[in-house]
Amino acid sequence: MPRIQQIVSACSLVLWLVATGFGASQPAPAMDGNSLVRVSAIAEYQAIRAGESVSIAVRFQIEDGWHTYWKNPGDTGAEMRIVYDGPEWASLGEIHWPAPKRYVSPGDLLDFVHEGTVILLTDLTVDAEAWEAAGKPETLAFDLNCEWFVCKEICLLGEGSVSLELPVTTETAYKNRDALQAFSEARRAIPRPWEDVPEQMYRAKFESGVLTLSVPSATRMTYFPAPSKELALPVDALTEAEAKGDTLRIRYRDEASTVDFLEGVLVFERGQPGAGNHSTHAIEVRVPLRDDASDPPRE
Amino acid sequence: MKKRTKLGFTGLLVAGIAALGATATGVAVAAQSSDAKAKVGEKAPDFTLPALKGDEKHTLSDYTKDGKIVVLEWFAPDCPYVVKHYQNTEKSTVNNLVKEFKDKDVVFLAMNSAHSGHPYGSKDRNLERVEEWKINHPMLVDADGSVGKAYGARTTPHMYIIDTDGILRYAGGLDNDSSARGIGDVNYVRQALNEILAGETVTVSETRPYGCSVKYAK
Repeated sequence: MPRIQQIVSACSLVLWLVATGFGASQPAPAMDGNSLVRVSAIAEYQAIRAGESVSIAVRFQIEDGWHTYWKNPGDTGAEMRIVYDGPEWASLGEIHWPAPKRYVSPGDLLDFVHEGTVILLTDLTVDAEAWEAAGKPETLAFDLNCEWFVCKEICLLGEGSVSLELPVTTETAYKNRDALQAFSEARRAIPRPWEDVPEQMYRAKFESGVLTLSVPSATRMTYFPAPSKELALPVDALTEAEAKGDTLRIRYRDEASTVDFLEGVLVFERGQPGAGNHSTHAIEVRVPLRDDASDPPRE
Repeated sequence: MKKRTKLGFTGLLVAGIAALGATATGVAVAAQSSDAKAKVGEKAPDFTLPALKGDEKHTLSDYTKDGKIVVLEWFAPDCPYVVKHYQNTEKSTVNNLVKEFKDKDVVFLAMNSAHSGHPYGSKDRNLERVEEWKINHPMLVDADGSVGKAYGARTTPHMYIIDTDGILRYAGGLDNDSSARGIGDVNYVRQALNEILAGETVTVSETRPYGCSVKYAK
C-alpha cells in the first residue's frame, strides 16, 4: 500500500509540535477526504526507555458536520486506523478509544461515530533485546500512518501521516510538559477499563439471549457493543441499546452462545441535563457468559 | 518493499486488532440496528425492479425458477469502497467474479437503493460508471429503497447470494479487507458461490459488510 511520507509542517498544529517528542502532519493534497481530518500526535514522555512503553496520543480534528468511525463502526462505515511504520525493535499496542456517539441514518441504520476532535491513545514499546541487537540506536524515528473514512451526505476516504522522533534511553525519561493537556483530555474521554470499574457501579446479567445492564440511579444509559468477529452482537441496538432510566435490556444474536464474554462500552448519566447534579460516565463492561456468573469478575 | 513494512503491517494488526476482524481474520461485526429482514437460510424477499438502462424489468423469482443462482450487489457510483472494487477495470473484483461465474448459471444484479435526490442515485452518474467501469451485469433501480430495506441492505457494497430454491445463502461483505484500498485474500462471494455450486454448506454465510451507508430516502 503506497504511503506518503510527509514533511512536518506548522499551521494550526503548532501547539503539538513544540519541544520534545512531537510531530504532526498535513494531509496529502491529492487524496479525497484528507483535508476533512487533520491528524497530529504527541508522546507523553520526552524519551522512551528501552524495554518500556510510552503512551502516544493521536489527535484527529474532524471538519464540522462530518464524522469518522469508532472501533465498531456500527451498521456502516469503517474504523479509523493507525499503522506504525518504523524500526522493527519498536511496536504499537492496542488503541484506546473514547466512547463514540450514535448516528442514525434513513433506513434505520445505526453507526457509532466520532465528531469534532477525537484523541486515540496507544502505547509504543521498545523491545530491549531487539534494540540492543540493532546496535542501540539513540533515536526512534517513526511514522504513524493514519487512515479514516469520513462521511456527511457522502463518504470519503482520507489519510495522513505523522512523523515522530524520540530519544531512546536507559536512563529516566521525563514527562513531556507540552503533552500534559492532551493526555489529560484524552484520558477523561476514554471509558474506565472494566478491570477498574467498582463492582457496585453496575449490574450485568445475560439470560435467554438478553443482556440486562442496570446502573443504580442512572437517568439515561447508552450501550456500544465492542466489535465481535463471531457476530455476537445486539439484534436491535437502535431501539434497545439506549434508554432513559437505570436499565437496558438488549437482545443478542444467537452467536452470543459461542463466545465467552460480551464486551462493550456503557455510557450513563445521573441527574438531569442542565441541573447542578448532572454527570456523565463511561465504563467498559465485560460480561462473562457462564451459568454461574451473573456479574463480571471485578476488583 | 522496505524492510520496515513488515512491522508496519504488524502495527496495523495490533493497533486495530479489535475492529480488524474483517481484515485480519475474516469475519467481523453484524447488524447493530434492527433485525435483518432477510435471513440467511430463509426465503429471500422476491422483487421486481426496473433496470437503469432500457425498459426491462427484472424479477428475482424468474431467475431462480430458471435455475440461476442470483448475487445481489448493493452499489453506489462514488462510494470509495465501491470504487475500490471497480477502479481498475482489469482487476475489478466484481467484474472478474461476473466473468468467472457467467457460464455457471450465476446472475449478478447491481442494486441501487439511493434516493433520486442523492448524488449516488443520479441516473446519469450511474450510467457514466457503467460505461467507465465496463459493468456488464444489470443495474436495478430501487429509488424508494423498499427492496434494500426488505433485505436489510446497509452498505455499498453489501452482497447477498440467493440459491435456485430462492433461499438466501450468504449476506455480508464482498471480501475480508475493509481497508481503504486493499483487496482481501478471502472473497466471501467467490467462496460461497463455489460451495453452493458444489452442493456444500456455505462455511461463512454472514459477515459484517463494510462501506458507505445506503442513501435511503428519508
